[in-house]
Amino acid sequence: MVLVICVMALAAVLAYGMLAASAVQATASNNGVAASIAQAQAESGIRLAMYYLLNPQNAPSLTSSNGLSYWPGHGNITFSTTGSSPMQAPGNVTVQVGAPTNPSSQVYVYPVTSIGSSGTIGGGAVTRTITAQIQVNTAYQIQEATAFNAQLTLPSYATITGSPDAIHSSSTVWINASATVTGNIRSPTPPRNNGAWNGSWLAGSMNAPAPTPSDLNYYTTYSYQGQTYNAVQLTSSTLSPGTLPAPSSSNPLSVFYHTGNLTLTGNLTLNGTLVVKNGNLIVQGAGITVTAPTGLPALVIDNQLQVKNAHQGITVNGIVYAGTGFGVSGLGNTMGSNVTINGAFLANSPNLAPASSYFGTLSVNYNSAYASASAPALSNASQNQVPQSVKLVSWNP
Amino acid sequence: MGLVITSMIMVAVTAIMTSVARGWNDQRVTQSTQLQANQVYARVQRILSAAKYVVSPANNHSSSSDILFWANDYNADGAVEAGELGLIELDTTTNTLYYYSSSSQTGAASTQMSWSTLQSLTAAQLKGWSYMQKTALGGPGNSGNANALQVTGAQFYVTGLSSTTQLPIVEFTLGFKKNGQYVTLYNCTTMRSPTTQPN
Repeated sequence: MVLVICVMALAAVLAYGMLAASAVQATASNNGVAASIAQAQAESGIRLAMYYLLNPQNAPSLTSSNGLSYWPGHGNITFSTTGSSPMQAPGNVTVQVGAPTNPSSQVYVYPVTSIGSSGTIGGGAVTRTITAQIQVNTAYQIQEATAFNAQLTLPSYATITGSPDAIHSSSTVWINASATVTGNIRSPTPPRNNGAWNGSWLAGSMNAPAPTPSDLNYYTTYSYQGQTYNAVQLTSSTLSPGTLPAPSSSNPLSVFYHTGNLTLTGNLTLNGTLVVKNGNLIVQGAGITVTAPTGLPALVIDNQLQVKNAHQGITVNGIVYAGTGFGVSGLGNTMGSNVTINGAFLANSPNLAPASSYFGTLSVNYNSAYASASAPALSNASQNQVPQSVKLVSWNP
Repeated sequence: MGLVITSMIMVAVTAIMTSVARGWNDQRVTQSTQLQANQVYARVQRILSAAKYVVSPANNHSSSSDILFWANDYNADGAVEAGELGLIELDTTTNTLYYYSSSSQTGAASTQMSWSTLQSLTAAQLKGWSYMQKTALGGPGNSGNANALQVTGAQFYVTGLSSTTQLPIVEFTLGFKKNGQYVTLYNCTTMRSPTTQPN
């Protein structure tokens, strides 16, 4: 009897030991699976942050820092397959995206923390945390025919055509009688329309949509095919077909600058970029054409684009930045003069000459498909930057 | 007669108990070795997945028993400083896998390293820098504990460093020994935030 009891006791101990060993093995196995799930969720969180930082238009929510909109992250995100029978991946992830630093022009680095969780597998949750820095390179993107950093009064001689957007202003827009606007207008308050406007009002912020002098690129140097080149200075205050420098290997995109007022005379054709610092660009001649190189603006003017005298004309294929807008030079009659911009017209303080002093026309035509309406390095102001590329600069699992 | 039967049963029970105990012990040792080896693998993977670039072994070159790499761009300047380098090396004397990294990013550790300098840099030179400290990733270290997990082999191989379509891959093989049992782990990791070859 005693012997049987002893054997039974031993058998019980053996059975308990085997069960305990088996349970430990199962726990270790579950922990391994849970750790793998948590790690995969954490890595997926970083990749999700990269996607939303590159494509903020697809992000479920946005926050902003210095005018730059980005996805701030979200808690308990789950992933699943698509289709008629979606399957949810086990676990979840919480992603936190911090405000970016701006180590150099048009480069933003976001700190990202991704905490992956296995969910409740085997009774407890395993978490894995990855911190990373994600670098986003941006470009300045024109999105409308005209952009102004102050209240705008559009004179009767102006015709603005934008597809889809015509005007973007950080303040009120007044459309005077006989002025023509085709396309949407984005401004903080609805436009006051007395002219011919065909489009919709889009509520906008008071952030400056156009470059300001502090963030404007004067293209003193520029990059082309991986090389850096210097713009060439024009010393004469008059630029005519006879004084226009020929294209050269040291200035392959024909970028020129002048300090002070610069006058363009008739029949000038410039395939390049013209920068006028601390002065006006004065159109005094007919048949003038300026065509911007791909990726650069046509005209960058600190003060105004001005017309002098009657029957003058300039056609600009590209972006025109005129810090203080558009005006008239001198007291002469400007009747019959024409200014046509196929690209975009941007101004910091939009003083447009009143219809009582300018008797010609001003036409701006914009289409988002225009190659001439692209100048990715025109400004490094954060509010007009659009992500172009993204990469991981650090990863700490 | 009863005593004989009792003795025979007790002998049988003792034999069973001994057998089971040995089995459990072997299983414990095996599991312990495997778990510890996995820990070492996880540590190596964690370090290499964060690396920016591998100096040696060279891309697609024959494998090496140590790996010298740009561990992290701590100051985000895009340049390699001495204090940003890392070295994983097997010490065959103590059967320990060590990770050498800098305890500082200032002073001599902030010296920028050109690619040509990096290529001629040896493990011995790096280990000689005063600001380099070593951390045991696996093995007994200097404890002399013969019963601890021994790291008996390490090989590293790098591919895809110059690829523009996939992340670079570091393959590594680690050999372990404990209580007379041997385990070899074959594994690889991708470098999550690689960069191009430093200047």
